[in-house]
Amino acid sequence: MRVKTLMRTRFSTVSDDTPLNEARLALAREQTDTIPVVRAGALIGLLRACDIDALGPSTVPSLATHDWAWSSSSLTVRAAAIADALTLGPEASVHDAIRLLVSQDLDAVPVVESASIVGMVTTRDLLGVLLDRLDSAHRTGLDRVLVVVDFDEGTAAAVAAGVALARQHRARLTLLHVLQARWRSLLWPGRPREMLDWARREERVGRSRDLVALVPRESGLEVGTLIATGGPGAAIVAEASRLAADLLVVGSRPHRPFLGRDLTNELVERAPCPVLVVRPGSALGTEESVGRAGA
Amino acid sequence: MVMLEDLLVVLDGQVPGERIVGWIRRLCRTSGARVRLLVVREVEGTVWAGTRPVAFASQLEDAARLEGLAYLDGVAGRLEGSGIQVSSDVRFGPSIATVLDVARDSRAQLVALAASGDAGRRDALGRLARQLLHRAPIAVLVARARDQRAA
Amino acid sequence: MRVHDCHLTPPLVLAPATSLSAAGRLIALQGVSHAVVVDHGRLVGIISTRAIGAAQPSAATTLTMGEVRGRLTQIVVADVMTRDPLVVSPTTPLQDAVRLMRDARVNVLVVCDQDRVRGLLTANDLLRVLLATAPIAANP
Repeated sequence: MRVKTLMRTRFSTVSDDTPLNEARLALAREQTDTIPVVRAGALIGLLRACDIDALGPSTVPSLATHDWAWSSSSLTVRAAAIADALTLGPEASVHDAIRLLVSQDLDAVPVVESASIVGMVTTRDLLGVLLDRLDSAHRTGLDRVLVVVDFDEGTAAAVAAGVALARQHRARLTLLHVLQARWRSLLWPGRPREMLDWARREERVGRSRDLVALVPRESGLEVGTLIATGGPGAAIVAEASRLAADLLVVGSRPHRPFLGRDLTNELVERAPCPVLVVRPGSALGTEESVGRAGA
Repeated sequence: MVMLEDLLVVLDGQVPGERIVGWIRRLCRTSGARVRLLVVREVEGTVWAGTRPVAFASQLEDAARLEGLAYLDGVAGRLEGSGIQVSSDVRFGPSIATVLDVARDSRAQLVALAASGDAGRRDALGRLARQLLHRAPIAVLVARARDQRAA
Repeated sequence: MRVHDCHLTPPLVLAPATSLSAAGRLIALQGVSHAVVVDHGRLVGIISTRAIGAAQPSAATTLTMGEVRGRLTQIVVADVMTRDPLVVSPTTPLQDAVRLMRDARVNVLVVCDQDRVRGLLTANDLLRVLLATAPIAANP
C-alpha cells in the first residue's frame, strides 16, 4: 500500500508569516495538531500545536498573571515551526509512513513531490485503516437486515432481496413502513378528534398486517415489523441506528423518479450502515413465493 | 432461493474506497461467491513535450493497467481464504459509462462501492455513486467511506 | 485481538503532589510522552509533556528565570493534569480501543485492570500493530 492511496489531498496550510494566533485558530478549525507551513507552494516546515502552547503564556493561573506582557500578535508561525521536517514521497510505503510518525512523534507527515506538498498522512487516518482491518477480520455474516417497505412497485423486489440475504446469513429481518401524514385532509371543522385518532390506529394495524403478509411463512424466518411516523428519511435512519442494522434494503422507484431518487440519496448519505437499492425484475429482486405487495 | 453469488465491486485506487471490501467479505463469507474487482482509469491521449510525443496513450494504458492490476491484487488478498473467488479488471474510459457497461455485460447481481464524498458537505455522495443508483440495471450497494462504521 | 495482545507502554506513575519540574525531568528521563497520576492507589489523571510545556511561561514573562524555576517547584502535577483520563481494560476488543482513541481525539488510553494501572496504550503502539498486520504489498 502506497502513501498516495492513503494521504489526504485536501488540507489547510499556513505561511511562515501568518500571525501565531491565526495559526492556532486554523489548527482548531481543522481539528488537527499538525499543519504544514508553506511559502509559494513549497513546504518549508511543520507547525505543531504543542510548540505554540509552549511559546504562549502559562496554563497555570498563578504563572499566567505574569505573562500579561505577552502579545500573540507580534509572533508569527516562524517562531514556532519546525524547519527541516521529514517528509515522504507519494510512492513511499505505508510502512515508511508509520515508522516516520512513530520515530518523529508526529501525528501527521507531509507528502511531497517535486518540492510541493501534495498530501498529508495522518495518524488518525492510519487508525481508521487499522479499524477497518480489525473489524472485517472479526465479524462474519450479517446480523440484522432492515427492509424499507412502501407498498409500491419497488416493495416486492426489496422484500425478496431482504428475505434472501436474511436466510443466507440467518440474520434477523425487520420490515419497516413509514406512515405518511395523509390524515390532515380529514381535518375540517366539526370533525371529532377521536375519529382522527381511530383512523390513525386503524391504519397502523392495517399496515402491520400488510407487512407480515409480505414474507411467506415457508421462508422459515422470524420477521419483525415496524411502523414509524415522521419525515421518511429521518425516521428510517433513526430506526436503522436503533436496531443496529447491518444493511438497509430499499426498492428503487422507477415511476416516481424525482421523489424516489431524493429519498434513496438521502438514505445513502445518512444511513448508519450500507444501503442496498434493489430494482424490480432484476436478478436479486425476484423470488418465487413472495406475498402480494398489497395496496 | 436467490443467493448472492456474483458481485461487481468498484474501487477507485484510494484507501477510503476500500471500505467496501470489508462489507463484501462479510456479505459473502457465509456462502462464497464470485467477486469481480473493477478499477476504471481515465487516461489522457498522447503526452507531448513541445512538438515531440513522449508517450502514447497505449503505452500509458499498459503502464496504468499493470499498476491497476497490482493494486487490485493487494485488495484481493483481503478477500481470500473466505471461499470467495476474486477476479480483477482494469478498464479505461469515462468512469460512469464504463462501470455501467461492465454491469450490463456481466452476470453480476449487484454492483458495490464505497462513496467517498467530502464529509460535511450536504452532497456526500460521489458522482459515480449517484449515477449508479439512478441508472444501473442491477442492484446497487453503497457504503460510505467516511462517517459510517466499517464492516 | 484484544488490548492485552498489544504491546503496551509501561506507565510512569507520579503522585499528585509531584512538582512540575520533577515531573518534567522524570518524563524526559524515561523517554515517554505521558505519565499517570495515582492517588492512594487510585488513578486520578494523566499528564503529558505537552501539558508540562504549556505550563511554562512565555518569553515575555515578568518573572526572572530564578523565580520561574522556583514557581515550577511549587506547582504540582495535580494542577496541570487531565482528570478522568479515558480507560480501557486489557480484555477490551482492540477495535473498540482504536475507535475510542480516534473518536475522542486523544492519543493515549490508560489500561486498567480492576483499578490497577497496567500500562498505556498510545497511538504509536497501535500504529505498530498496523505495521505488523499490513499485508506485504505485491509491489515492493
